[in-house]
Amino acid sequence: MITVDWQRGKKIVANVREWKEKFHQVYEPIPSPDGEKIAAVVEVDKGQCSVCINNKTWEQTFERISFPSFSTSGSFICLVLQNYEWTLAEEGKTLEETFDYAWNLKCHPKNNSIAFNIKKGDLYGVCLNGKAWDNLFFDARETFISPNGKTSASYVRVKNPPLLDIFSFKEGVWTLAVNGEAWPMSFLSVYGCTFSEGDKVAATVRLGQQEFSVVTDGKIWGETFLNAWEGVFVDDSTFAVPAKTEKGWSLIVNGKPEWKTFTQLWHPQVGPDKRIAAVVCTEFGKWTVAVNGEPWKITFSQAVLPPFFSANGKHIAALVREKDKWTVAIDGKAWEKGFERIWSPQFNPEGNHVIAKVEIANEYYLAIDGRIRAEKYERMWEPIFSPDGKKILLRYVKEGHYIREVLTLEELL
Amino acid sequence: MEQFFKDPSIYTLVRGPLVWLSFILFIGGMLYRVSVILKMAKEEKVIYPYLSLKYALRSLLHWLIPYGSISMKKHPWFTFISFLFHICLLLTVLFAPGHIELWKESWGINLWALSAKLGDYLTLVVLACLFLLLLRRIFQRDVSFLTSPMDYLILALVSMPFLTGFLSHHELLFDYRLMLTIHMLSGEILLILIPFTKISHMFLFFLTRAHTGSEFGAVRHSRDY
Amino acid sequence: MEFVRKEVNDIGIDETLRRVDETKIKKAIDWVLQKEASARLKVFVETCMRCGMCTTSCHHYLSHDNDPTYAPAAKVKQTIWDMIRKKGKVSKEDVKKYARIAFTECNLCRRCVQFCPFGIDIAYLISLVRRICCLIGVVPQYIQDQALSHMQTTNMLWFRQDEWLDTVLWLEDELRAEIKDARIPLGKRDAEILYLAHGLEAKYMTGLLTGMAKIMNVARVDWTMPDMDGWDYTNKAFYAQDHETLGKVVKTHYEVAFKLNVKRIVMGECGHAFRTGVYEGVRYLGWKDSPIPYIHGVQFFYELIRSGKIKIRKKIEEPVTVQDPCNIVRYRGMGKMIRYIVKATCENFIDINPNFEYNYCCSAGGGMIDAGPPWKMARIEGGKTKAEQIKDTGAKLVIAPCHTCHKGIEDLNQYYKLGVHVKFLTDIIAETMEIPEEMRP
Ligand code: SF4
Ligand code: SF4
Repeated sequence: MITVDWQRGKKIVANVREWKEKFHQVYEPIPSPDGEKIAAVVEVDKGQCSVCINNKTWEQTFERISFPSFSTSGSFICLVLQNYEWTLAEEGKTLEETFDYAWNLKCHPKNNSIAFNIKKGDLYGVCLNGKAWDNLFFDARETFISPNGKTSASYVRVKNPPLLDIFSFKEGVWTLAVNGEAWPMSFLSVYGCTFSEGDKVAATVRLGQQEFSVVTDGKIWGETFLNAWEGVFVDDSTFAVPAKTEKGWSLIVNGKPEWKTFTQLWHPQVGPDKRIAAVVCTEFGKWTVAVNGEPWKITFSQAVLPPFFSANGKHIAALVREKDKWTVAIDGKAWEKGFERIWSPQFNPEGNHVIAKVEIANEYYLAIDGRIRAEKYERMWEPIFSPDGKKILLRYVKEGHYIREVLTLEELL
Repeated sequence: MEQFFKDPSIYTLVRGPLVWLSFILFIGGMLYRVSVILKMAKEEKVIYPYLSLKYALRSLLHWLIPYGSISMKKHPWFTFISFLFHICLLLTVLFAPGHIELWKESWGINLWALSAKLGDYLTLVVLACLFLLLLRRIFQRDVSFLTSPMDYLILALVSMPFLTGFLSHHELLFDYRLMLTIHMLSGEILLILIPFTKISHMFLFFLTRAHTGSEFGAVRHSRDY
Repeated sequence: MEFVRKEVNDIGIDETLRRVDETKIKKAIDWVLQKEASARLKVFVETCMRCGMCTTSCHHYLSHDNDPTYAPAAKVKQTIWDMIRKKGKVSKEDVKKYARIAFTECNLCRRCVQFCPFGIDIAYLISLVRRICCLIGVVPQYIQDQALSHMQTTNMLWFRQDEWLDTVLWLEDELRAEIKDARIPLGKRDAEILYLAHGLEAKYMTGLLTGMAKIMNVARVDWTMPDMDGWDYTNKAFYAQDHETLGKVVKTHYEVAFKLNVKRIVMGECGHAFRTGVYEGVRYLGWKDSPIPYIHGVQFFYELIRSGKIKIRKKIEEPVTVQDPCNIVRYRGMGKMIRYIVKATCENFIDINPNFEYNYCCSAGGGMIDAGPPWKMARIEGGKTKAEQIKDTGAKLVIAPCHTCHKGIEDLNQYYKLGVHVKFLTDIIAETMEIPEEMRP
């Protein structure tokens, strides 16, 4: 893991405006999570791509660069194309093995494992930490990495009936493959792949027109539902999934409805204290968050995004939309002010403050507890709380300069 | 009512208690039907949130005014007959001299009355319209394809009170009192049946138009007429 | 007056019926008519006075020499009324007939609704028939195939993720021959606009996607396309009334938009996808309206031209007419915008009659074109009215801002020898717009 400098103060890291003159073309800049680096995919010359980090450019150039990002450990990773072959490049160094295609580059936020989807010949799979699956499939979509970083999964197609052979397709051609091993049965569709802390894996599956169920570690539940969305592990042996029964949508825990029914229910999230919060539609056109089945009193007419917990589990918040503006609702109370856009709001560790990047009239501001700070930026990234919650890291561009700045929470209150 | 108790006979029964009964069943039945439908519409979830008074009224207006919709302009004769039929029917039902007496007797309401002659003419117009509608049902291919025995039955049901009213007034066929009894009975039967047959379109019309009018106007930004 | 039709074989209907039994059929009918449908079904069925006012509003009726079995209310009679009368105890032959009527003789265009004194929503009733067929599993093979693809891939044509990404990179290369340093951003976070494409534009009609990308670059729009599933705005599950898939596809579209945190979703020129994106799909999920703006290509172009972001260099000279696609005109009143764009780009515009929301459906909509080759003649025959309507304008070019109308009219043109050609607004704008000096390669 990286150590972040939480000294209060401002640091001009690079003049990114100059890059525009230096290179043939500059793509969207990406700051590192610690704010110390600013990177962008650049075209050194027509059709020659590279990566520029803090004014230093990788030596090697590629025909194409895609899925650029910083890894959890702070290295710059991306997928690159050279001579019709794709592979991973980390800090300018490429893997030895190359692929006919590579995409969906992911890095696990805790364990720094890196995985992506690959195509070899006509077959598909995943490459995890530099090692491609031994078994490949007719198709592979999405990449998932387990909490211990040693397991990867993907939705794969295990049968290849001829085009338009609807009866074979109706028997199900999709399943989940874990480390290249496909589950023994296949489905009309499989989605919502998720791991438990103990590396158990589950997904929602569709068996028929109105038959949906859940598979955990290759074993299917006995119950089926009229419809179902993505579920979540409460612990290694408890799985909760929003599903539709004849009465409506409910949260089904290990096969049994646990919540009263709603018009809609999705995105259940589990807090540190094992409380479950989910987005619910209490009445057609009225949305809110329900915690352990109890909806907030306040509802929103346009949208409620997946709720999230404070680190101590005491508070729950969600992005909500009303009257064409986004705002943040915390424990059933919404900020007074709405914004054109808000980027992933964040709790401090105690959960009594929320910060976010917000947009007003095409300019960006830091908002804290619903108030905005006067300072505005032409470009800005999500603010980050220090682990002790006393400092806030800002990353922004002002007059062409990329700047990292640490503020104290106190001065913002 | 009192008359019936003083002199119980079929005639006084039909003229007294049955009028009451049929009105109660008509109004009660109508309220029941509408309330069931409104409840179902609530369960259906996607009806109420989109209702718009403005566009419901816009829609109703265009369809209540003769030739207020393109469809009516495209079917000039049918529109003419239907409007004539509905208007004459309503006028006769409400203002026929015999009915005015009945309203007064039963509820003490004093309404303006049609002259006997005019009432007669209107009745004949209604019957003529019904006859034309019948011919249309039989001979217009697309309509006859849709028609089921029930539709003929309804034409018959509706024509009965008018026919018998006319006959009794002119003391044709049967003796006046018998004819009048049949007339009142057929009217009462019709009234009772309204909520439970297709004739309920007389009030369901407002519900369907409110829904479709709102969807077209408020949601789809286009016209439903 | 009998229901007489030429025999057509479609394994999605015939072979499925061979494999199911009557109990499954009854179950599906009961479920839809008693559980899923409610007030509307009841009131519409009971209020219909069998007056025939709707008859001549339907192009299928007109195109089939006034055969009464093609009249709107007649289609309901031969399906819904029949099921109700038989209390769901219907034969396989019956279901075959229902499927044929619901999938291949009604475009769900809702023109008839405008002509019924009671505003009875016949398209809704026909969609219930499709829903019943879908639960039985009886769906035209080509539509079923697309719905099956949507279930997992979200796109209509079993496209793999790398195929999508690769196509876009390749299109970007192509575009650079026309626009200097043009970009087609993929998965760019925080863009203003998320642009979604039609599935076919990633494979057979790539020119159209390039045209759109060209317009985006010239208008300097801050945009992106998804680098994940959800890039294809089509939603063919709607045609099958496969609500489960329909809802999942629309949910995916909005969630991609939330993930990339864009301000609005813009889609191209397609009718059914707009309809599912703002009505059917969102309503199924519980949203009253789209949670963030969901903009149709017509609305988007109208904005670009009005605001001057796109300037027209040279207007098209040949006589032009338009097709008002039902799903965006009768369903969203975009007729005026279409004409604004057409007049801005074409010298010689001749309006069609009837026009705006009273326009006739192209006869390909509502899934009829997606029912594939077996049913091609059904839509061509049903489109006779449309063909005559176009011929009467005397135009040489038909602008159809909808994929379905576009292909449908192309086929009508060939069959009825109309001597016209068909274009999208994207084609027209990409062709006539001014490309600033500094963008030329
Ligand atoms: S116009 Fe309306 S009421 Fe008349 S037959 Fe058609 S659907 Fe029925
Ligand atoms: S095709 Fe259109 S006009 Fe004809 S019945 Fe269907 S919805 Fe009505």
